[in-house]
Order: sequence, then C-alpha cells, then structure tokens
Amino acid sequence: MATGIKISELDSANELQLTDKVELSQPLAGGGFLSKSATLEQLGAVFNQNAQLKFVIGVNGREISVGNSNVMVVRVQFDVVKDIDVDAWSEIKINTTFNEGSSRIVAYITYRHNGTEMSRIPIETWGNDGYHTLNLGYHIPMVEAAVGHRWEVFIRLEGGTGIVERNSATTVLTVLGSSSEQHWDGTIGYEIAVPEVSTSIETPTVIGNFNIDNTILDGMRFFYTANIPNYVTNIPISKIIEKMEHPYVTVYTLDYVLRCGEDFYDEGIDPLTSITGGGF
Amino acid sequence: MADGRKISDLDNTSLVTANDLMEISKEIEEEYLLTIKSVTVGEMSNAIELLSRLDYFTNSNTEPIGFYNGDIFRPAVQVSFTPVKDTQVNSWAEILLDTQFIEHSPEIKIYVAYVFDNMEMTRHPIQTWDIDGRHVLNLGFSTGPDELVAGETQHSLAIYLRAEGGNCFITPGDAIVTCQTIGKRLEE
Repeated sequence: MATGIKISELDSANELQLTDKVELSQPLAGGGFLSKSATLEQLGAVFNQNAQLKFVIGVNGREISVGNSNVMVVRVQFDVVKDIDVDAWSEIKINTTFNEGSSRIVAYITYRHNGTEMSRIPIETWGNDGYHTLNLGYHIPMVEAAVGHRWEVFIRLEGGTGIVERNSATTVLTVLGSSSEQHWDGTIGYEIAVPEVSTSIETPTVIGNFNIDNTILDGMRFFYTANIPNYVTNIPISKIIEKMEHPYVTVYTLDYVLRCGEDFYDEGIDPLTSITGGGF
Repeated sequence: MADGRKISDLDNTSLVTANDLMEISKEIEEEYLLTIKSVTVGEMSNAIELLSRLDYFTNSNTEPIGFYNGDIFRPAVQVSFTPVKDTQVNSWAEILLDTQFIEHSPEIKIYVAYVFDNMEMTRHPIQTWDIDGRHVLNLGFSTGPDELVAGETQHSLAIYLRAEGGNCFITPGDAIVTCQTIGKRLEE
C-alpha cells in the first residue's frame, strides 16, 4: 500500500469514529484499488465478536444452604464493549426437604443487576421434596459498555429448605455476536479509485479549457493538467463512461479521479480546471 | 488479479476471489489509506453477511390472561419481527403461571402450541404439575438451519396455551418471548 500509513503511526489525531466508513481495498495489478466498504462499527463488531462479553459464566463454588431468606446462589461479573442486550441463563439444581407439616415448597427467584433488584420474580412450587431443577432466563436490555457489571441470582424457599451443591447453580450470559446498530443492507459493492498518480514534466499542447464533463477528440493523447504553475500531471484516462459517435469525431465523457499529493490540496486549489492534450 | 489487467477492464465477474487477502483501510483526507487489519475477502463477506442477520426481538404480555380448564388454545404472548435477510430464528419464552386445580383434580396439564406466521407448528410441549401455585414454564423454539424465514418480511411467533385439570393465570409482563435471528452459515 504505497500511500497507506501504518497502525503504529496512529496518534490521537487519527482517531476514528464508529460511523466512519472504511474501505476494504485490494491493490490492483493495473494500479489503484478494488474496494468494499463498511462502517467501523460494523467491522468492529465482526472482529470483536469474542470481545463483546467477558466473563460469561458463573458457577457456585461451594455448597449453599437455602432457607426462608434470600441467599445468593450464583454471581457473574462481566462487561461488554458497547451497549448491548444480554441474556442471562440460569440452571439451579436444588435438593429440597419439607419443613415439618409442610406439603409444598415454594421457591422465589430474585435477580440483581449491579445491586438493583429486578421486578421479575419467578416462583416455582413443588409438591415433592428431593432434587429439582430450575431453568430460568432473563433478558437484560442495553447493558452499558465499558463498565463492570454484576449479575446475581438469589433464591429463598417457603415450606422447606434446600441445598444447592457445589457447581449446581450456573449462570451463562450470552449476547448476539455483534452489536451494530445499523443493519448492513447485505450488499457489498465495489468501487475503484486511483490512489496516486505519477507526475511528469511535459510540455503539453493546450487545446482548450474543459470542465469535468468534457468532450475529447478521438485519437489523441491527453493530459489532465492542474491549474497550478509548474505542476503538471500525466495520468491515464481512468474510465470512459460514455462514448458518442459523431460524423467527424468521437466524443467521450470521462469519469476520472485525480490525486496529486497533499501539497496540491493544501493550497486549496481545485486541480480539475483544465485539460490539455496533444498529438502523439 | 492477473497481471496486466486494466481498471477499465474490470466488471462484476473480475472481482477478487474469496481467498484473496484484503486490507481494511480508511481513506484519510482523500489521499491516505489507513490499514487496520487484513482478512480474506471470503471471511469478510461472510462476517458482514452474518452480521446483518443478527438481531433480537422481544415482547411480553400487557394484559392479564386466564386459561380455563378444558378451554381451547389461547395466545399467551407473541412477538413480531422483520429480519433483514433470510435467517434461522431461535426463540425462547419464559412464562410465570399461577395455577389453580379444579376440584378433585390431582394435577394440571399445560399444553403449548407455537404459531409461526399464523401456522400452528407440529411441536406441542406439555407440562404437568401435581401441585398448584406458582410455576415457571420455560420454552424453546427454533426454525432450524434448514427452514429459513424470509428477510424483509414481517413474521410473528405466538405461544398459545391451554389448561386441563385446572385454571392458570398470567399477570402482565410475566410471559416473555424473545426471538433471535441468527442468519445461516454462508457458502464461501
């Protein structure tokens, strides 16, 4: 990549925004680049799928006794790289014993996100003691990025007690692999750009001034000339987008890209103010 | 890209192949291309295609719902969604129920039906509880990898329930359904 700069050369002045559109460029043998494009957000989501969510699983590391007060059975600490919905899946196996005279056990599940209790409280009722398995899901909307989060599951029992054995309460947090807010439209187009031009000093024959959409006489060699003294560029016609036959001449409409180096633009001068041409 | 090809010779059939390495770059001030990462065209295309298909759609019931012993299937919760492209759909639902046995009934059975795009699916989970009170019903449904739903088309998934042996009730917000569109594995 002749004109590219390296990642190591980046500094704060080169900071990119998520909405910046980037090109996927392939150098072409004939010069220039074949490009696809996407926003940085879209690309970042692709490359950071594994980084969207960290510390995704929690398991109780010790045996937990559950009675008639809330006991935390599992805690998961996590963070996300950008605001995104998170699903929390829990499976809790608990060995219950009736209280004397009780014929049912009611389990109350409470979730806390960063210490805040969620309003949704699943309740399960068992008519038998022994092992039971609770499968639970919770959708946490728009978890804030770049800060630590804590997801905790509490349980309490009425009518009995329970034991959650070691490694018997698990919570897995999942996100979709991406988090792009804007949908990719599914199409990947391409465009071709000429990233640089060689310069040469020639003495062209001026045949007139032309605007960008110009008519060029057939059979002649042409130069695009910047309207700057002593700055003459010689690049090939990049693309002929229309060709019209006339009795004595062939008229071409040109679509061209002219890159003449940063000095050119720094001077704030529109380079495409004239075209010169000459015979060959 | 074969040597000697001219830019003007390119057309849609002369694009780079999936195994060609591409560089992700950003054009800076119209002159410089900032290289970020290199991947193959195939990897990038697949990733972007997949990315376009990932989404969540979730909904919950807003009204209290009652399901009475022996009644017909009635909707508990439904969600509508419009995927960007053809996609597999995975969904899960969690419904918090309050059940009440009818007299002398030893159990209550909850029958589940999935209605996708107004068509009842063949799979019918059944849950039996031998004690009334509060229960949690967790459900999962997937179109599977071979039954993609059409993109740019609105779809709906509704979960219907019916009860036998008792009645059951759902308070607002206690029936939640989430659909995830996860795309499909793309051919290179």
